[in-house]
Amino acid sequence: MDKIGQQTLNLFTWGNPSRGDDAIGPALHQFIKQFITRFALQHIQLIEDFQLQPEHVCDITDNACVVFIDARYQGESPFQIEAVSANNELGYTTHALSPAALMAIYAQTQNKPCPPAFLFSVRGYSFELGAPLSKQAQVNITLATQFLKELLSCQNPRQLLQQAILSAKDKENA
Amino acid sequence: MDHSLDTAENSENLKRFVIEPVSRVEGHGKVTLLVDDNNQVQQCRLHIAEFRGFERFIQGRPYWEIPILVQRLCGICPVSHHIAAGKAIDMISGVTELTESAYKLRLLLHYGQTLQSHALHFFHLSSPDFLFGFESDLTNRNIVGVIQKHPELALQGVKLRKYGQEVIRVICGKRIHGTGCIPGGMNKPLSREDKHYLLGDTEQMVAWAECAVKTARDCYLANEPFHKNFAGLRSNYLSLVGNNGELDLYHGKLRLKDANGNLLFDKKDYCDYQNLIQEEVKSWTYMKFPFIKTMGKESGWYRTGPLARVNNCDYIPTPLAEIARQEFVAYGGKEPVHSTLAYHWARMIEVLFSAEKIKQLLHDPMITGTDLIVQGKRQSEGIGVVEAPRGTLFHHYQVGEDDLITKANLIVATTHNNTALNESIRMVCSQQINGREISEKVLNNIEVAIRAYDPCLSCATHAIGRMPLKVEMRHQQSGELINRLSKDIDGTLHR
Repeated sequence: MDKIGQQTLNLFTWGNPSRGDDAIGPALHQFIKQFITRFALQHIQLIEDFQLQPEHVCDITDNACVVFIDARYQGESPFQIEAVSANNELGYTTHALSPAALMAIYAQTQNKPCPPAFLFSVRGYSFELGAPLSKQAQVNITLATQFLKELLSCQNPRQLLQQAILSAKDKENA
Repeated sequence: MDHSLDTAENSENLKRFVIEPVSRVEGHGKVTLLVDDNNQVQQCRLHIAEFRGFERFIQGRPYWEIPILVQRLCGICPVSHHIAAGKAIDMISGVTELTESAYKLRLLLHYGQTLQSHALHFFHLSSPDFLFGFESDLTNRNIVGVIQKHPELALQGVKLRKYGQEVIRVICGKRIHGTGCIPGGMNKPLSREDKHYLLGDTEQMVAWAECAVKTARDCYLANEPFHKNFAGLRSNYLSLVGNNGELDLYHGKLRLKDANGNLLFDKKDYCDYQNLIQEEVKSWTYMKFPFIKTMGKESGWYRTGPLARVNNCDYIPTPLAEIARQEFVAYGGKEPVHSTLAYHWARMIEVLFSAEKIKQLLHDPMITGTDLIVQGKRQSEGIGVVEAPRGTLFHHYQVGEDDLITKANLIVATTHNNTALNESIRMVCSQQINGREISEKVLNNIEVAIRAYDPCLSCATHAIGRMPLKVEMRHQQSGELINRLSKDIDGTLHR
């Protein structure tokens, strides 16, 4: 199914499957993994982890479009897409990096400009330990997979993501 | 123990500061300060939510699922929980001794985990404080600042961690949610290809780990009088040690030393931990305060983790780390090294030990052995203890006839260090904060003390869109908001 000239996609998913809607990331990971296998997609690199860490800069490939996929506690439903710019963000005794901080580390360590990067965040509602995915989160996941199918198959994922951001803005302004 | 800042008298007349990172649903920490009109701290407490919810969550699950399930406790040390639970499940399976290959594979996994966790902690979280100063510009005091000013050092830290992660991936099959430990052994052998893949970088990792020890030592000694006293405590030290008194992070007996370095007990079977350790409950926190039963809560509290382990062991069974330990011990003189900031130095000695152990294990022909499982007679109870990166980790399970977990008890390193953490930040209040106007830079002194212990405040929930830090000053009686200092997710500070 891969097409000549198709842009490489680096997808990062994370989340805790035992914490209610934090399982959105792992659920989407499963979907993407199956989709990649089913259609033998060679241009996608899928990475799953508990959280983003500095060494993930080593996973970002040249000329790739990077997409971070996670649950979101607040914001638009069913999902929200944002461009990620390198940003020297701060942590407080936490062991995780934000996508923007990871991109800042990439820029510093690789001595090259950051590839285009986006945050694809699906709205979650409950993050209690031992809780299942909420019904609304399940609906959001279904809607998210519709978009992801298009993203995984398209020739130019960067363009698709930018268009999605613009359409969301248009809707907001309408 | 100095309780003077544990509970203030006349607290209704004091201003209240709260340092509360709210970016994690479970495991988040909060510091509250009650300050009088002269900015003198009258009460200081660290509150940390702990894992009791998880213990309840485990109940009713089949016992063989537990090593997989407990990996969801923590995004940084899932492997430590996996191995501690694995040891407990061995016991439930009636297995007292693993095959040589299974044992060595578990060691390799455990030292890979220690290497990656310690490297992350020092290079990512703590080195910015040392390299730029505890009250330096907030915009520099992070890993990106380290990368900008000390790129070679920062990259070494990133690559050391990456290597540790690769060891874990190769053994468990995946970066996360992988499987390694199963009842009575390991689920797959290490292939020769994977062994050679990992061997290719061992010399480099050992060399970088040596540099890490030097960096941590030099950072500490560069301002030794200040660092020695900063949040410094005289305490007891608890850890596992190997059968011959050596540093062993996977298995051993419990040893307790007092502040003078005298043995208070040694070679205690960890299965007897309930007779050794008692936990005190305080009304203002969910986190318990463990202490040695026979000593009482006043003098029986202790520290665990790298400082305790390097202080407690008689020797380290790898050559370069042993040289580093001897230098560390010589610095302490006749007593254990008590400085809280020396945790970082000890932590890097363990990074070197882990890198050397990984190299030794990969050269051992038994590491690729295929005899990986033994069976035994099913028991109703299992206790597994390891030295996790942050300290001694206890997993204790009881199982019914139906193979389902009926009771679980976990004591994690952060819990062991609870009293010490509180005492350290109280020391910082006395040393660094009293009489000064509260600002982010001043408050970072408290964070520096907390970070030395590497408490696991964050677990695996990390929904985007929550603020990482909030400090509020309220009138204690009316609750009226007097002042607020908040840090947005992009690091912007607002008053």
